[in-house]
Amino acid sequence: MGVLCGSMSTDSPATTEAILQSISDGVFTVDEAWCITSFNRAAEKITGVTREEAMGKPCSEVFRSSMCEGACALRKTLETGQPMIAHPCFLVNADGERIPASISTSVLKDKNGKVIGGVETFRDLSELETLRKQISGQYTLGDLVSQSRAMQPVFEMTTSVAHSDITALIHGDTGTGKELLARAIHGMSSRAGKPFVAINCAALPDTLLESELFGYKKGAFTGAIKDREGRFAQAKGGTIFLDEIGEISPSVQVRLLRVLQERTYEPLGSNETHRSDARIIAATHRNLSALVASGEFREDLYYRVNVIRIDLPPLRERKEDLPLLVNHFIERFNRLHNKSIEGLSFGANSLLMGYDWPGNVRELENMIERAFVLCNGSTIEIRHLPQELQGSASAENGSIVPDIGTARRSAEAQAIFKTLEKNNFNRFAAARELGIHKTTLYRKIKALGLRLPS
Amino acid sequence: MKVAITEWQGRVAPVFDVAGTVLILESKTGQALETAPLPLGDPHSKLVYLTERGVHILICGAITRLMLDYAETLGIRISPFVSGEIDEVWTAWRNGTLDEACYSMPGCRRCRRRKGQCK
Repeated sequence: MGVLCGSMSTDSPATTEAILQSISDGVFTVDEAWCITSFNRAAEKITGVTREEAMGKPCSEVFRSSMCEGACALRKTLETGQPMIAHPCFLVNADGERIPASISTSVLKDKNGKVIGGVETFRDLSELETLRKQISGQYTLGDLVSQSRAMQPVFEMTTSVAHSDITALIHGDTGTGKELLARAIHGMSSRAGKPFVAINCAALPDTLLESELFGYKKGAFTGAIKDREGRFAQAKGGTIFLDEIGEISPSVQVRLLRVLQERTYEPLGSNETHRSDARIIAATHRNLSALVASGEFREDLYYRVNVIRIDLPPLRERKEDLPLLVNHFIERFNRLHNKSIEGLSFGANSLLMGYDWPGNVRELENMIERAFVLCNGSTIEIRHLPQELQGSASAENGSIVPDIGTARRSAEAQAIFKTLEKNNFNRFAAARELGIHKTTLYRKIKALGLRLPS
Repeated sequence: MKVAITEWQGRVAPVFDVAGTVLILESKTGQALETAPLPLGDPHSKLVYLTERGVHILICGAITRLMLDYAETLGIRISPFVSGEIDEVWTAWRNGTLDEACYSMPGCRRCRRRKGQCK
């Protein structure tokens, strides 16, 4: 069937409408009073506002962009007659989501050339922004680095928490970076210029913890030969970080509750009441609500501490951060040890991906530092890594003994990698040598997180 | 109790996160206490500023969810996605009729319901 071109008028209202409705960019027009006169389907989708709801309403209340109030692009275009092209901004949709967008504007004239309003087109850049972050973006927060989706809520929550003085509870396994996060909150807060005082509540016996926290007067106990101020006093105007708060005894819990409720305390051996204006950040690896249920932790203290809770995911749930963290530690240790190690060998990297990291980021950091000592070349090889990563269950130098699953995965990752390497990364040949089906090999490569040359 | 309304050109400002001016009013007397510029830049600082001014309730236009959650942690109650002339909105709030559809931003009636702002 032949196509008859030019049979349809391109400037008819019906054609214009059809074009507007079919494009993926949002388009709306306004009259000279800034009220919406047309609103296409894509605009409905991006803003979450239906055409019926939008028509006749002020464009700033429909579009809700970051530019509406102070730097309206359409106003500028109508004032100068100059169009604006792809101007970045964000808009807030009906669900309160922040939508990154780019907008373009132009003057709308009638047949006689008289200005009758303006037209604005806008493009949703959400997907593009997500991709950009995935490809190049890394999120840093103080000394925490991540590009993992699992860490995004942590970063978002931290920004909010930092701007307030509320007590925060950080929950996470050992080695996930609880103190680093607390330091980041302090560093982003208005207290950044004041002291950050950290104390590990589990490291000190009861009586010592009390005197450490609240200080003591001369003669309060044997050996108290002079007054000593406690950590709360040292943290004046700043932040006090109480690590492992789940380990403190009932008597210290009572005293801590009073500080949280009334902001006051008395040093040991003193009748004088001191005020504390330090912001409190607590952390634990334990389930505090379970401790409350078992009577080991006071319920009233729990609610005082758990105003805002930030959960740090374990490293095994954000393995995509491993290359980033490895680079971060290599850069740091290169500076510290005056070396110029460039990175990990392919095999060593693969082993890291196959490991479960029970000791989390701290274990990774220790492992890289250990490799720095052993490595004299420019690349950290498998032989520089601890035995547990190489599939052996033997632990050395106090490192953590892996469970059987971790050991099996490490051994499997190593065997697969070596076979692939031997076969020039030919998957079919490697599968045959390993005695498994090609699809099983693919499945295992994926499950173990092995990164192979493309 | 102090109530704040973000203002722009005599109406509720369209987006709280970038709002430049706030009107602070006293709920008991209905009197406006002051019109003040909001801190520029980081929207968190706008909410902190309101807390420092003793504001308990904020009436505003569109607001991102992040700011909505943050306001909650600061103890500020929010009537979000409100539109209209400042005087009318203030009267409606005092009369308990701010939940009426005419004060909702286009497309946001369901949104305000979900957030428990509408009855």
